[in-house]
Amino acid sequence: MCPDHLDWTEKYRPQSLGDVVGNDAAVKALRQWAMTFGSGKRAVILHGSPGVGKTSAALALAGDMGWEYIEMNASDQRNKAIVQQIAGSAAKAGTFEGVAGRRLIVLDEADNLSGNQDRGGESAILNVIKTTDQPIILIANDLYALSKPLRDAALTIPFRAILSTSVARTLRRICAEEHIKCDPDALMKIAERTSDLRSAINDLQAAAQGKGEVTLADVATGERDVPETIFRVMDLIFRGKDMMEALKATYDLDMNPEDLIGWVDENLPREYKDDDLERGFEAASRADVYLGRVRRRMDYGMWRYAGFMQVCGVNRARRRRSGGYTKYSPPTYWKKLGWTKAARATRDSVAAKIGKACHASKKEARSSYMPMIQFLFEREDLAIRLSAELKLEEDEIAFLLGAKKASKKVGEIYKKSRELIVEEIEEDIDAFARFGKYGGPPAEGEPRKALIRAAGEEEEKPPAKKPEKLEAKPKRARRKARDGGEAAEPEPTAPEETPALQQLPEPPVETAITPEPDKKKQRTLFEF
Amino acid sequence: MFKAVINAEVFKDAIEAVSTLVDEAKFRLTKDGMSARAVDPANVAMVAFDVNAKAFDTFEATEGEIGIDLVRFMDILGMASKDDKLQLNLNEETRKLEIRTGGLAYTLSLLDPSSIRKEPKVPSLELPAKIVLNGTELRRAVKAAEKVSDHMALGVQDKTFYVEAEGDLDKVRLEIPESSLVSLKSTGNVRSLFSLDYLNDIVKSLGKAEQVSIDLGSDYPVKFTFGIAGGNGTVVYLLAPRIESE
Repeated sequence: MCPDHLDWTEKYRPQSLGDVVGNDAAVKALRQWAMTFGSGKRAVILHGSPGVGKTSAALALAGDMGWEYIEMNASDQRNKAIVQQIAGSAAKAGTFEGVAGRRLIVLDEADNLSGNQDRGGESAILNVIKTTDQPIILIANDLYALSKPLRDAALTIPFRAILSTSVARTLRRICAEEHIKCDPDALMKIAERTSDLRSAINDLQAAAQGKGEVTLADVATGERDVPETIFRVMDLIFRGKDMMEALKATYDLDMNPEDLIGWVDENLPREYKDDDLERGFEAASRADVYLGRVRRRMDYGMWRYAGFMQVCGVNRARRRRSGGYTKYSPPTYWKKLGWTKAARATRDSVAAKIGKACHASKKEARSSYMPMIQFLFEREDLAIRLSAELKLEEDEIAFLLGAKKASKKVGEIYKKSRELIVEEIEEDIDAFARFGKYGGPPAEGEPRKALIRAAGEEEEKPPAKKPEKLEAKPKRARRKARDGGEAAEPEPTAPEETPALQQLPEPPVETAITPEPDKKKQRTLFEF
Repeated sequence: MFKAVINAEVFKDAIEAVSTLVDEAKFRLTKDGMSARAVDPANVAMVAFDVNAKAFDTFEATEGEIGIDLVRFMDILGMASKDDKLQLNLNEETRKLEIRTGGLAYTLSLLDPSSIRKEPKVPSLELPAKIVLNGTELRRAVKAAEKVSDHMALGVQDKTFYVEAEGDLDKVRLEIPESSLVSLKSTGNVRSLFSLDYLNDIVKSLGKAEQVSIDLGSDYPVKFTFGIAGGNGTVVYLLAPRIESE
């Protein structure tokens, strides 16, 4: 590659920590950490806004210490396996100079692990840090995008914005080396636009390369896009006089409409009152409808309308103005979903059981039947019977009662409902047994024998008689039935018993559904 | 310019020596042959690969460098059958490598050599022990070690070469006395620990070699040297030791 085309940011990357511009305290802390490596934490996190010298400092450190280094950044895939394979191997191995050789592992853009592509990457990094024998530097823009265990496992060193005078000085040095005539005002103008040295050098290169000089006119055109902060955008939406200004501000915001609506939703009630609030939510909910369509139809053109509604619509909804300061906060929606995950799972499992019993969809069960059942649950006897009928678990009962799972009431209802289930099944068995060999009510212990015979019987015509509930554990039940049948009586029972058997609504195999009668069956098997 | 004909199997085995460590590599072409130096992404293993022009049926090349995506290259080579001839031809204009074998004509897009990691400097190491043995023996040792651990020690003790792996629970040790080795020279007892992840990759191509020479030190990198392409090429692997943590 021709050296002329080299990025100046690469070409003038500091080779030694002494050349790193600004951030003296951070550089000192970093050097201190490297000098005393082996005692204390084995990893550091360098964090700060882009272009202030984090990566440069890390690489310069490797140069100063005579360490070799490897770098993994966002252009590498960094999922669990790859982090383990590359960073993990590098952390446990010596270098080509032997086990005493040091290798610096630089994990750049550590806060930018993609959730999907880099699955498991963060926990893998934490594991590597915990077991490493080699120094590790993590680099991040946002320290708090890293998990707490990761932050705790490493020393954190903040990098701050660089003074524009320092930026200008660096630019001047580069101009000198590139033999470029420069106007000091032009350099200052570049430097003042941003506190990001990298973008300043890029601006300089763009303005100067191939010309040999930089004048104020060269740099006067084009401002750098400065990202908007969400708080300013919130202010423009809720309090701005010009809705187009608010809309334009959202374009400079590094956030898509789906995330923005969370902020609008969260902060709207803090700002608007009464009918303003109503109109505001009307607009926001319309925006949400559009977002839903984006999701469903993958039609991202709809984002435009969602944006209009949640920014301009919400802005226009306000009729009354009030002063004072409002503290805007990030959406709690996802957090709340997280907290309620278990409760929602229980609600859905109850709905599924109700739905099955009432021949309704889960959704229908949730909206129509569930409130009713909750009402019925206020009476304990009904609660027990319903719990038995629906075969509810403890947490499901607790949900319908609105009580804690560990509470006494829940435990009692659960226990009684289970007893009821057992009782009903035993009744079924007895009823079944009555149709057995002996005709009359069975004596003690007899039902079992009858059961065995019946089971053998059952095997002959299973498809015709099997009620739907049998589907719960058909395999297991049938296997037992066969074993029992064959062992007890190779010959089927007398022919006149068969019709009666067929009319039985629930053959005993159904008992396999609950554990208690199951035991019973098991015992019968041992009798042979 | 690069134009060559070679037996497909021979070439595939040769390239595999590099492709086990890296996904892409820069090959240097001279009139006398081709060579490559590469280091794995974690800087733990290094390979130096040289094939002499004599290994080829015909070989014509001018000085140059080509960057090859080894994953795709190996894929294509896998299509050739054992006794097929492989015709390689570099199209200078399109910067593509034309590969012909068994009636198939592939065009492989090359990588910009400057986009590939810089070639490592091969460190010069003075290692006190040198063991020469059959490649299959070493492969067997690695396979055995893998059953119990993720790292393995290579060492020489009292004129006996040994391989030892110790897991959390189990341990395996293989000893090969001097009499069963091709040769053993050592100025004392040595021992270094290595990652089996890497050894396992390395023995894939090393296991096929008749003779492998191992240069070993204490807590130092190990150097494996062996011939490829019927003695018309060599591969050197260098593997950094694993740190023995308490």
